[in-house]
Amino acid sequence: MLRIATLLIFLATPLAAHEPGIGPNGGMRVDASPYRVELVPSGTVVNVYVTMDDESAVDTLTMTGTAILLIGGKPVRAPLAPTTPGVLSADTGVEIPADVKGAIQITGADGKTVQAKF
Amino acid sequence: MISFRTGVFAALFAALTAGTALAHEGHSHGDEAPPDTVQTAPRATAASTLFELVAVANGQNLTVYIDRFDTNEPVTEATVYVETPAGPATATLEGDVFLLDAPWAAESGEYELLFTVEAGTDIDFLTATLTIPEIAAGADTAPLAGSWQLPSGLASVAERLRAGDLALIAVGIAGFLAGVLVMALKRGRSVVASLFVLGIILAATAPMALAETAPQGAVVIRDVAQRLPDGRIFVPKASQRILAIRTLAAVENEHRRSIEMAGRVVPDPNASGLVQTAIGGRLLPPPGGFPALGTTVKAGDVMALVEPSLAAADQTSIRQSKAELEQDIALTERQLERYRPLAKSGAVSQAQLEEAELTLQGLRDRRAELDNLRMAAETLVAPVSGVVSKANAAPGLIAETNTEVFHIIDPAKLWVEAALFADVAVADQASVAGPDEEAVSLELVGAGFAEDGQAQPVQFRIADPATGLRVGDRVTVYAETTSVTKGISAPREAVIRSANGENIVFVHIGPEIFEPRAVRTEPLDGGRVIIVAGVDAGDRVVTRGAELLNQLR
Repeated sequence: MLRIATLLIFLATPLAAHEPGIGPNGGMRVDASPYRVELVPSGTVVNVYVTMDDESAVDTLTMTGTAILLIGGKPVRAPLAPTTPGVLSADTGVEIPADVKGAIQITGADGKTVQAKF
Repeated sequence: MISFRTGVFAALFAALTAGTALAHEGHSHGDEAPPDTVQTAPRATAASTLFELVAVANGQNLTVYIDRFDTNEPVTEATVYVETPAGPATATLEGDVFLLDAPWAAESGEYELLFTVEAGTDIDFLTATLTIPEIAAGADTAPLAGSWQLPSGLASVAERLRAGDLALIAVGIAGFLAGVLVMALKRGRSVVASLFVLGIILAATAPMALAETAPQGAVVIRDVAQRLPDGRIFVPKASQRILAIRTLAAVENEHRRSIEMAGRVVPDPNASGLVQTAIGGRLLPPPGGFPALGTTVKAGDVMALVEPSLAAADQTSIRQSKAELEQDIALTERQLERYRPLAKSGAVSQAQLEEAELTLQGLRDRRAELDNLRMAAETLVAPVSGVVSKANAAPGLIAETNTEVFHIIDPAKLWVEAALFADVAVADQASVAGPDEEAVSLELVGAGFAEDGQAQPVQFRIADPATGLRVGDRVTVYAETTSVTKGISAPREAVIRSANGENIVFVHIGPEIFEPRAVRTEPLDGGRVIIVAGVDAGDRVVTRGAELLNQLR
């Protein structure tokens, strides 16, 4: 049983759930079950809009996270902190291009972490 | 009563002693099949367009394998940052893998990991989820470890029964049967005794049923490459590194169709030559000796001397001619002696005297020639420059006129002669597979008209002489034709034959999963084939190590 379960774990490698699309705030939006996250760069600040899968609001005020963005050929790491309800922000200190590549990690109040790749 | 006790004792004794008798797992022979209890270590996998990543949990450490996505080549010159549950960390390179301290991995749970891989200008982010199951948490999981606990007493018997040790169960059953046999011999109370022994056996095997849910404590975890029930192959990254598996992203293109011909490497007729004697005779070495095999010689170099040998009949006729000449010389000398005084008196004319003198001189010359006949040896010289590839010379050897004393070949000028059976026009370009499976290109020299065994002889020149091909090598010539076909080109060694005879390739569908695909191929050149069906553009086809993957069971 356990052997089969272990095999199934690596067979079912979660490559899916990262279908990019344009979100309501004009940024790239991807699924990060159970959330949907949208990455909106604005100057040197990156805003991450978080909703549930069904577009309902999420209390982001207890969330923390990390954004790693590829800016100017170098990875830039910045901690995400809640600003307004539903949004986590991070100031990278450098100008962020609109089509930035990167990944974010968000940890909820329950300690559960989700990741999204853009 | 004696029979009852004997039955029980026999079964118990057999079961207990089996533990020590078969206790052989304390060391590894290296060729042993992995035990059934072997599982894969907890692992997280991720892939992007650039990289493929597998992180394997090993107690409180993570071993991170990073390969190029397209080629499966290990990435070692890179910096790897990881966002772990305990904050950001940098993995350290050791050999061809990256190691990361992960004390948090000792606890069971699901961990989200964000890897940043920076390899030169290639930077990518990979997200992966590592699930540490209950069973492995806190346990001494030791990938690639081969040690087992030595069984001791009943506890170890139960342990082995839980592990489904068939040998132990068999011994138990044998003991049971032995007990029954003893009881049958003694007769009486056989039913009670059998039931009791059956109860013992059931009690011993009961933990087997419970084992599915109960935690087992120390578990030996070892990643083993294996064929999955659906035919796909699971190959841990560690094994992929050992087998040096490489892949190629399939690209569909138009290729000129090729035809295969059987051929043979022959020397260029203008750059090879034979050294033979025209007169036949005894071989003598030239000053410096006979040239050895592989010696480079220039055109005109003396290769051997031939001393003509005379047959018995020839020698007799020479002796006869010589005797006749001696006789004629003697007669002419006498005649000349008589003529000289008579010529002074005018009885013999001066013309008669001169004629006799000339006749004598002619006869003497003819005899001298016969004497010198055996002395003149024929000099054998190299007709072309090249390398001595055959040498049949030995001092004293009697060489007939058709004996091939030396064969000289210029290794830089080789041709391939092939037999064309199909009625198609061959383009100028062709190739053969060289000794290292690399395609060696050929240029068309010409095709004959002679129907040599239904085949048209076609000759090609090997464009690059430094190929390792030798005269006489049998080769398959792939000659381009003028028709075009669409497909995916792949190295010839990527296509292998499966157990049922199908042509297959392995497609790399997951970081550690390979899928066999039946394909239809057409020849392309000496090193490549065209896959016309079975693989889609973009698939990662295994180009190196396919044969090794096919061996996995």
